[in-house]
Amino acid sequence: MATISKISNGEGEKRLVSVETGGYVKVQQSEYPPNDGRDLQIIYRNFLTLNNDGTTTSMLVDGSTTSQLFYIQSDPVNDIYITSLSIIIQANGISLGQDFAGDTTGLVNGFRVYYEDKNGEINIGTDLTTNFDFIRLCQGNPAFGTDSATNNDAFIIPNLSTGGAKGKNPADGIIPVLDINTIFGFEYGLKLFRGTNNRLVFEINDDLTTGLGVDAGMNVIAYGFERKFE
Amino acid sequence: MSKNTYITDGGGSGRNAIVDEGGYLRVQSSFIPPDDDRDLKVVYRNFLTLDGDGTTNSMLVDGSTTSQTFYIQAEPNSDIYITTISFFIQADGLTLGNDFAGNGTLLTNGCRLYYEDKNGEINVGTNLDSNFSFVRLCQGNAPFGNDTFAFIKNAGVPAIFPNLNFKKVFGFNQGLKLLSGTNNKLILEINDDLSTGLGTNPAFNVLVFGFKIIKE
Repeated sequence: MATISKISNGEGEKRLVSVETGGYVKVQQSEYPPNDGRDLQIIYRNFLTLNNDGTTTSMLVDGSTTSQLFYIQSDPVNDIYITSLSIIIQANGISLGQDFAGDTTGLVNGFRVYYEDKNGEINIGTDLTTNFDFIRLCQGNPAFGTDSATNNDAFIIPNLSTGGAKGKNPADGIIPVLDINTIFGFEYGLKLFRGTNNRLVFEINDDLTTGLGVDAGMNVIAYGFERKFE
Repeated sequence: MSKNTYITDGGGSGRNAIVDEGGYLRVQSSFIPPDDDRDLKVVYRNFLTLDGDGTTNSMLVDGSTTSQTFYIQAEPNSDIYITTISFFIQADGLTLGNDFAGNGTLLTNGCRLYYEDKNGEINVGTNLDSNFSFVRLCQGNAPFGNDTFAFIKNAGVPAIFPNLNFKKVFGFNQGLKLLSGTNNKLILEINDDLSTGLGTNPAFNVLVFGFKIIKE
């Protein structure tokens, strides 16, 4: 036989917890964060690098014969939660038409963005052949700028490097941000489990060492946090 | 017979949980995720395809005589939660006036977006007969541009790419669920002839984002 317990107020006035229609316990969320002195959450911010070498951030490599992989990998001790990815693609003449980094054609094979966990390789984006494909993958985040009869400036930022200027002069670029929570519904972000080979990968399948616009550049920064364990 | 119980700090501080006026138990959420190593949640991203064939994502088909349906379907072993939908409509001459993909007029019947679960067919959007109908369905997300070019990417072939966020627009905190082992579907129904009469370089497709929960 079960014992019936009423949850009572531990301090002051005599009050009991209410259970509503449907069996819901009424709770009230604190506006303050918990007083938790364990310090188990650490900022995580890293570039994706070639074969995770920790150094090579420029993605302007030749992946046309052998695919080239830029990635971050799980940590041996802490879980990593990736909350957002910041992508920069820049070049003279960059546009949201049929173009990748000023090549004025778009890529033949395109990028693949995926992650690996014990469920295998899970695609986040495939056939990313143009600047606009990255903007769409990120669902237009952040949204800024406008097109006009004379200039197409929506989503294009000027002055990303010396010599840049509004109006598609050298080194204008796009800066889409993939928000994992908003787009995919992962409350804490995408998890790379500690002590595994989990990784987040940008796969390059074209030759990006040639044919792009002047002052071309591309890199990706992953943002999120590490969750420590006691 | 019942007895009153206090929730007491297990760490030995002697603190008891407080019940506020109205019978509310005070709670406080952790800001760090739980230590759960089951790895049951994976990214989901797929185009809606003709009859769910997994291949045909171009929606420029003739649905004027027989409606054509593009959909994703529930999976046998994983629940799918759809969090966002990305629409893409492009054509030369595309505007937010009376226009669908550069045809210079409204569609006669319009598209219908709906899902099917055990409650039947539930409409998400009906009479979507213009570019603007999709922008409005998505409540102007993502907002960019001004005036004639508001919400329009003009470079290359002009296009709109509004995004429907189920949490923000409909209050589905986890997204729209396609229950595993059922025939649940998310469907865009074409009820007009989109194979002709549009502007040059037309395109129309829909990409679905979300996650899957793998059953243990």
